Amino acid sequence: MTYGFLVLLAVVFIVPFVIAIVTSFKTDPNATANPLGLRPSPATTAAYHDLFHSQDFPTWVKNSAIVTLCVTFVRVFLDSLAGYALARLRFRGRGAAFATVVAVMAVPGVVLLIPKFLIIRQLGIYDTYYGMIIPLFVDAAGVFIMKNFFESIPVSVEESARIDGASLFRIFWSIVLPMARPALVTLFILSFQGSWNELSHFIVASQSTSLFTLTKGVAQLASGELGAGNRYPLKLAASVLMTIPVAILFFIFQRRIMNASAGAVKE
Amino acid sequence: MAAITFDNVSKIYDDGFRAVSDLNLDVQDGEFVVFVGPSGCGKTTALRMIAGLEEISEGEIKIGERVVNNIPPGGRDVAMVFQNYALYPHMTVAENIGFALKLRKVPKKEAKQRIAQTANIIGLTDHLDRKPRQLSGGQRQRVAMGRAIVREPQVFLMDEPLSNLDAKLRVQMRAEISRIQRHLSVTTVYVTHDQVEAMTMGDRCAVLRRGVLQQFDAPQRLYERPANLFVASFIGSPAMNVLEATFERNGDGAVCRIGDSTLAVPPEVLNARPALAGYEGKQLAVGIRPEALDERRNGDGGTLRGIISAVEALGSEQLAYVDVEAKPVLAEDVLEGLVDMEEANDLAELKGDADGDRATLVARLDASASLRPEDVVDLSVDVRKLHFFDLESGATIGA
Amino acid sequence: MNAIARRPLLRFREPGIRGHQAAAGWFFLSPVMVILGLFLIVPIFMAAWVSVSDWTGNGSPFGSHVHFVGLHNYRQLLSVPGLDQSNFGTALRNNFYYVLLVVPIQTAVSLFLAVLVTRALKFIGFFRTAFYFPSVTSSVAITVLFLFLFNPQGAINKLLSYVGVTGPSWFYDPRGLFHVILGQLGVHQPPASLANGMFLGVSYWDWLAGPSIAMCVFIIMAIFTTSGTFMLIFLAALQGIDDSVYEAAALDGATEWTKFRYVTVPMIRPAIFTVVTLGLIGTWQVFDQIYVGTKGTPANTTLTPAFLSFNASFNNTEWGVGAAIAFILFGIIVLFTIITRLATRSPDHVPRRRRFGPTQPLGTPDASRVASAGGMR
Repeated sequence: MTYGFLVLLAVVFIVPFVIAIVTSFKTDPNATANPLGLRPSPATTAAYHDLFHSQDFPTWVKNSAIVTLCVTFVRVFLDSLAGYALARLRFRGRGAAFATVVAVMAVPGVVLLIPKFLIIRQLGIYDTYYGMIIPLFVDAAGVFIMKNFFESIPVSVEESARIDGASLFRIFWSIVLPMARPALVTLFILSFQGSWNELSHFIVASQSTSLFTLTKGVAQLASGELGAGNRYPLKLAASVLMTIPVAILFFIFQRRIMNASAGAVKE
Repeated sequence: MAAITFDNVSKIYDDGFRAVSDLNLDVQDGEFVVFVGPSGCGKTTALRMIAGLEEISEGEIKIGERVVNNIPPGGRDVAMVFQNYALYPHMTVAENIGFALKLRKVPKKEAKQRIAQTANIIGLTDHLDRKPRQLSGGQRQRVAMGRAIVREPQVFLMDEPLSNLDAKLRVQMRAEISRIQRHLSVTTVYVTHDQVEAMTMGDRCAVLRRGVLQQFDAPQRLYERPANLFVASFIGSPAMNVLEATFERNGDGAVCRIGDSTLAVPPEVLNARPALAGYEGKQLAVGIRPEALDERRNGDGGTLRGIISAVEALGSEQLAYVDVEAKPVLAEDVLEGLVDMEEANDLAELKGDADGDRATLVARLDASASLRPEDVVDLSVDVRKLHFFDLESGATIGA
Repeated sequence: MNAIARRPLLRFREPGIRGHQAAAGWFFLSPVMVILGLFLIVPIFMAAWVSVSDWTGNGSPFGSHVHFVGLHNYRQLLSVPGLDQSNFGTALRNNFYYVLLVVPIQTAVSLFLAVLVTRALKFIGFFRTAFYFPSVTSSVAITVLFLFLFNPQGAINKLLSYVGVTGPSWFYDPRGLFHVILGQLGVHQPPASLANGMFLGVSYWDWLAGPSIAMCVFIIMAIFTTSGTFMLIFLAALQGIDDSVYEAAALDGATEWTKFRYVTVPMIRPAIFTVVTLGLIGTWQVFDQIYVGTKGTPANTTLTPAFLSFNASFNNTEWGVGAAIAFILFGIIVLFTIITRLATRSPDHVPRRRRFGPTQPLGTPDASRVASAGGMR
């Protein structure tokens, strides 16, 4: 009986995506006339074709890629630096620094929208890649994750390296960081996912269409067009495409992601 | 209050593994029965089948007159004390004890009274408002017992309840549990791997090995009349010394040749074991308990000469480890019966080492005996207390 | 002398080490602190200034043409009758119902999923994945998908027609859910006692309208997307309960339901608190979906404070008002978090250090990603 429920619910959760994919291969009239049908008639790749040959879609992909890759790599590095400092190094003000990190984590994102815009403009990086990327370089949660991980590694490894004469940075880079691979991978995946799917930050960080990421682009495709020209296959094809990278990452690393998601919420 | 009957009960897992094979036994109303054996012998599985926490694959279990195979745990009127206590961490002691009453919608006033009475029995009256995490191990164990006691069930089941306690506390709690059980006279089945616990607490003990019942008897009988090599090695500490011997009749009596030594078997021993007649000229296993050995000349049953390799002074007595020229019996039964696995491993090494004829006997000697390692000693054997086992089957040679 | 007494250890080490560590420590930490400080902390103060100023978006907010106006903007929102106030009131009402419906339903659904999944020993991985997948996608993609499914001539209404029900026009339907229900019961007018009152520019009757049908789609969307994440949290909590406790309960005579109620639920209380808190934080910030989907329509019934804040600032250049809305929202979230904390605190609870309300768990640019159950993603 448990399985009965589970299968039913699984269907409810999966079917919408199936419909999305199927519809992306339909023609516009077909999609509107037969929204539930699971067989496109006729089946066509017109939607995808239009997307790839459009002015904007490739640009969106390019921008998303640039932003996500930059943010992810830098963030993993910076978060681990900070996490290590908070976990291992002793210095005055460490407690205060940590408290600050935690406090920042506590501020709801929406409150930060306008403030971020203000500072980005003030610094003159509005409407540039810098404005889109730099503020995302660091996130408090990532620091927290890395700090917790570093605390769980036995100190003795680092101590023996120190006795051998390694410098602090050397210890960090050649010894500790490689040991932290699981956490780094997790952080990498979560950062990738987060920045690829990010929307509100890009809304406030830039406005020119040449800087649109996939999220902003598809949002524009979809929004404000309730009722005007139902180009559903196109919109759904765009949604499908933008989901693919994250989906792939997810399916490969699912166990890791799901463990991190549950375990990262500290009690 | 009820009797428990196991009628050809087996537990077979999906992969064919038989955790319990064809178990037949009767626990009498009010009796304290211990299921004992090494880990993996099926004792816990058998217990859980009484509780209804494991499905019965074959056979029937009856509690009272009722066949309980298909009755869910809540309906069998049994209470259980788990090894890890399984207390409800978010409830107070009083609430833990009273939970079953609450589920059965016992009126609050009556429930309160019963909880107070139980708290009195287990000695936790002042702790009723505490939560489990605020209690010590021993106290938690008593709450687990209280939970069982308050229900006034037909049967108490206990799954190694003392194994998480330190040694001194264990001894104390052993007496407590026995006292409570006697006071309440509830039929109790108690599982343990510790033969000392089994011997001291049980009215009768069921010795299990690999899912098969070896012997079900009062402790003293298990000790004096083990049914096979396994039971003989398992019960009693230090373990029984088992040596290979050749058996020969000698007039009214007989002799056992062990290495160079000869032990005379008196006629009364022989007569009590007619089956020995079939072993004329053959090899068998002879079991000698440590206390049947003495360093002073004692009777004329014969002696075993050996060299002392170690002496352990225990204050009340001494244990002497004596190497003799004799072949030890290191059958699996014997090894498995040695509850201390390390001891078993050491012996197994020895086995591979000397297919030869060196056995180390353990003798229980008087505290006043002054012996030292390297001393040569002649140990007299109390031949009235010899045990005989078949070398192949391990069964006791008796009637 | 005092230095020795205070830090005896220090005396026995080379003076260089501690200094070295301190320098390294700050060096390692600095990029993060700088960015956090620059892009998160400093801006908050800037925004606070803006909320009490009359800046119109031209030039710098610190320029000489910008004046301090005290609580003017806040008053515009809270006490001065006018469009600002009624919009704010409407947004609050909408978001309030969103929170009211999403958080409990989402918590219950995710717990239900977790309980089911723990029981499924075969294919447990498959089910976990299936339920968690929606959380991985972007809010934009999901919103587009739902726009399609809940189109008045779309899949959902088609499905409903198969069982003889005529579906509403979903995203276009501004009718409040409670009004619709009351209407079915024959109540179309407010009772006399409520007929003439207003709170924050919205009539009492309208306050009781409930979420609009359009908003209900967003509610469904929220539950769909975040149940998976919270299911994982509950899964972890459920796995922490030893089987023997359930066995003991079975012997005590507990049924499945009584086991759940008296054993499971109390033992996963911290997880429940976490899920509810994260849910609250997220739902009070819902923005992305509104921006992509309806932008507040129909009839302002999908307006939320977060979107209003954005709209006021970026589209209407009412920066002061927009900033003020953000801070009021901050206050609301903090308030709700504290209330939840007090409500779920057990009597002998020992407060753990550093457990300041919501921990935003995932490494995302917008740290409240997971926190925003169905909200900001």
